[in-house]
Amino acid sequence: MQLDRDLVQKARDGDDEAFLTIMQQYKTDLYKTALAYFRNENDAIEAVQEVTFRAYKKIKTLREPAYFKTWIIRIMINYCNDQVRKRKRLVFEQSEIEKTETQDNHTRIELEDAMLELDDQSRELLMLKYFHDLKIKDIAKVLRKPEGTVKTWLNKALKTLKGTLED
Amino acid sequence: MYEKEEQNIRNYKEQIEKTSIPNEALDDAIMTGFQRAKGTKLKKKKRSPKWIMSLTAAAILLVSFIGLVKGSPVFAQYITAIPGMEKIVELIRNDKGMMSAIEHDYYQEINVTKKHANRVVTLDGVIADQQGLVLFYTIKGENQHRQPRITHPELKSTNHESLDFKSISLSGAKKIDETTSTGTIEIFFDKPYQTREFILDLQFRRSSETMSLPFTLKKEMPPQKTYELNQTVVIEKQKIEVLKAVVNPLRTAIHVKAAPENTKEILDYEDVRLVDERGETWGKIMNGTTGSRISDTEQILYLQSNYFHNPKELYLVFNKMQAVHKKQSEVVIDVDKEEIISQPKGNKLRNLQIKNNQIEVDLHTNKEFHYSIFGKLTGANGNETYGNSSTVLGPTEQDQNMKYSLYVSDLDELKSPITMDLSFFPAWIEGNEKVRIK
Repeated sequence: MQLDRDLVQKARDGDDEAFLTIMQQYKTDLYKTALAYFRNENDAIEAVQEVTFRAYKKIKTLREPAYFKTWIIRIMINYCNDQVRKRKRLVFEQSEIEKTETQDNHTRIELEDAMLELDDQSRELLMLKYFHDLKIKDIAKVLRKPEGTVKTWLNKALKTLKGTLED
Repeated sequence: MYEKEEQNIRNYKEQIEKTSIPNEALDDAIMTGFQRAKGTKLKKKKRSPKWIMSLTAAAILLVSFIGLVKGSPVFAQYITAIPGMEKIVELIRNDKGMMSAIEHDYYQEINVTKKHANRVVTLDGVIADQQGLVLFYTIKGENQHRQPRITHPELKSTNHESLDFKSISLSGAKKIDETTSTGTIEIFFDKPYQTREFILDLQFRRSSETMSLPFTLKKEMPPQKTYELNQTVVIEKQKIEVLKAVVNPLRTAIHVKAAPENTKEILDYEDVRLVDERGETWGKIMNGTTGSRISDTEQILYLQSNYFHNPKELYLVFNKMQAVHKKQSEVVIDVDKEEIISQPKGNKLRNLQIKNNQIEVDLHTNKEFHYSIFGKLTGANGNETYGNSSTVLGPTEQDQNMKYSLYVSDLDELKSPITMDLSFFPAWIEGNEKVRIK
């Protein structure tokens, strides 16, 4: 963690090598996050490329180096949310294909679909908390909201998810 | 209370954890993303989205200012003599140059088929010239719900090295029947390429597997024709220098440069074409790359090729270009008040609304204008970004105006007022200026 912090600091000050080293450290996390959204290797790889791009351009806006992981995962989640939204617009064209191609693994698909039906904020919170095992305290810090608010939101997200799964 | 749901997500995570990590591909992705970011950081110039947009615009527009090729009897005979040729022609019917290339026997059959799982892909053939290749493929899926789709094409040399081409693009797949579709992959180089043996690597939606199809160009390359022009046309006091024209069977490339002292910025060369002494015309590429940008003032326009046509006289005609005053080539908006602070004269943009990272605005114009108007966005704090996606709506029966919306995921990073560069705009300079090429 300490090493990370120094590296992040360097990266923020414009050290490209430091930036690439950190990206190496988090590439697996980023890739898996994207995979959870896209269910497809190519799209996930493309997402990592896009997030590298955005992270590099935005790194100066990162306030607290200790929260680099949450910060970059959020960039990824935002990107994924955008893409998912875009795809929803294309749904009429692809819905049939989606249906048949996803019969292979029922429970997983159900959860994926339920997750995709959530609003962006709920999806983001669930991903940060359960997928990346981040502490509520850290999430609150990055979102700049009180812990209590984050807890309430999280509960609301779980409730919606439960509702969707039971439908 | 929600143990089941929590467990559900954790199980899901475990499943994802089990998948293998494509390390190399990820390293490449990081490097590419990094280089892209570095590139745009160093270069203050506008990036290329304009041309990406114009590609979409061209695809949407498909206006018929160029007549389709009427099949000559000889050509008709030729087509029917070769089985499978009809479907090839169907894909390039809108392109006079490519039609002509087939007519002049520049279509080469490849006929390589690869199978994987429930996909069968056939590389039917190719039209190649010194600067590009257009590949024709047929793809067959298991049933109508499982139509496979190509996501990433890549052209490599036989030892799997990447080639230094400038652009690769997939062109609209056409459905032949419930399970089969055809399409083209266009690859263009900056300068003549020497490779003759290739491997086409294809990746598909929802699949991690790569399919490799080898092929060789056997026909001799037709030599390209270059015309050094260095002539200037003036339209509504705006000077455009036409530097040269390079004609190949697949397309004609026209290198143009707007004079730096022009009072207007030319956004798009909307109607530029080649005309021979009898009035036959070759217009812009209808469905593909319509140009590439060298700098703010310099660009290359791609027209349909007249390579095989040998006119006595040939002219390049400039009719219509989208252009705005340089001082007004940006739109400035106040995000908080939802107000347009400045825009090109004519008050064409009205009713600005901003909700959920979406910038929406009405466009008052006499005719439909299906272009994506906005390019780069710059905040008052210097942060820059581009829209993630844009939508054009209208006109509808209820509303005569066009509605534009631009989704910008990182809109929050831009401090108001935001300056938006124009990529396209419904304001034109018009004329009928000719440059003699031949």
